[in-house]
Amino acid sequence: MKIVIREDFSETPGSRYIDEGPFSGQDFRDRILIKKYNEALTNHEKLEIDFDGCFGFATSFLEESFGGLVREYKKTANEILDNIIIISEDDDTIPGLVKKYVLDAEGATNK
Amino acid sequence: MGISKKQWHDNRCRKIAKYKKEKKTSKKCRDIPGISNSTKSDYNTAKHFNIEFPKQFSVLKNGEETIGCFNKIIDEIYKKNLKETFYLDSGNVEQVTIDALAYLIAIVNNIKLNKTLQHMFSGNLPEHIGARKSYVESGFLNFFNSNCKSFPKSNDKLQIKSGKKSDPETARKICEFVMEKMHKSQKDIIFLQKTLIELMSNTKLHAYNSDMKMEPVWYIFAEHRDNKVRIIFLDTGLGIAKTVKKKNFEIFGTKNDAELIYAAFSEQFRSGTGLPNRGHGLRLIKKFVEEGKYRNFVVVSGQGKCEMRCDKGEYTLINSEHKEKLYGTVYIIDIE
Repeated sequence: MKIVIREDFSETPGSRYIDEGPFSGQDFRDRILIKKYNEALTNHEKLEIDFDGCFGFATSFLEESFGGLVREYKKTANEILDNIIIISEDDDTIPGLVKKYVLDAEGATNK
Repeated sequence: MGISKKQWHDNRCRKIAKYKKEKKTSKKCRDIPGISNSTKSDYNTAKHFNIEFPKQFSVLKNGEETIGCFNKIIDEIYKKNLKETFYLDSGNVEQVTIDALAYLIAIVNNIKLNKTLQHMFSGNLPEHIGARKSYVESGFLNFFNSNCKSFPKSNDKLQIKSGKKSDPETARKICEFVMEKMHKSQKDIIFLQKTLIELMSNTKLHAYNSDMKMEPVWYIFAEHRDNKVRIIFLDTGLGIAKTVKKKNFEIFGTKNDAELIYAAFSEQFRSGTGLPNRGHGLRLIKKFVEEGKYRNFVVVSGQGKCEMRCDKGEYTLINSEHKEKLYGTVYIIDIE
């Protein structure tokens, strides 16, 4: 199961929330990410997410997309990190940031 | 002997024109929507102000004088006045930088968008040919009605754009401009798209509040000159310094504006929202400067100016204060 963000969503990801502007992290998460993620889990597959070819991902976009899986969809950090594979040759900071946001979201949720 | 058809038609046109002119001048004052419990005597109307801009019209290089001129306009706007006329006199301007032009457009445009105030703006272009060319090539005239003869569009300038929300497409155009002028690949300027989206988002979320007279709009401009691309991003809102102080008073209550600006980009600052999952954006921008991705990153807000520079791997920070307070925030970003 794969998401190629450049083709399935946008080459120019935006900000955090839908009301802030187009191609937001919230839009990506709710329209594409959660569906493919659940489908992958059902099929006992890992979800590959390809970030390459885009013009760059704001921190707010990444945090809302992946941290939001914990906050909004009550996924656990371990489950998310075990079931996604991040492809990002253009920006090597993305895997670390996604992991950080997922863990931080779980930590904040558990407080 | 009757009049000819042409004479009848000409007389009729004259009468209609006269009637329209009379109707216009006898137009009654109406209560302004949204302002109740007030009388006409509460307001001064139809005042005229002449604002003369300095020879060196630049926020970066001549902040005190330039910001002082802007404040003459803004201070009048924030008084309880309607229907004022401002004449923006650029006749003597000889050197101009785009930060000043963009800020001027921002004030005028944001005020004009607020139709309750009914302020009018007019003005002139500089007599100095170089300065005049800068005005026109920046897209300045796109924001005003003008019968001025236009210069051909410059390939070295992206005309001023504005918006209220996060606009990835405009950010992308800026990135592509940098890629073209600085011979960089898309991968090389990922940091710029991130920066611009953060700034646009911050403007929408934090820069303005409901009490303000100006519309909540950001402005952006890019120029290729002297082997670098300069990007100007600005808003005319509360100002980053004021926002930081307001949200974190227990930590930053005694700091000056330049220190507050720097605090917004540092680890000390919690997000303006106070939420734990927020507040990463400005810290990331500072990291880009430290890594040398930006040659200069200057922020002017309130009475403070914070200049972050990276020269041959060495990072320096210069904070300074000025007397005149800038409303909003101006970012001046250089990429080499």
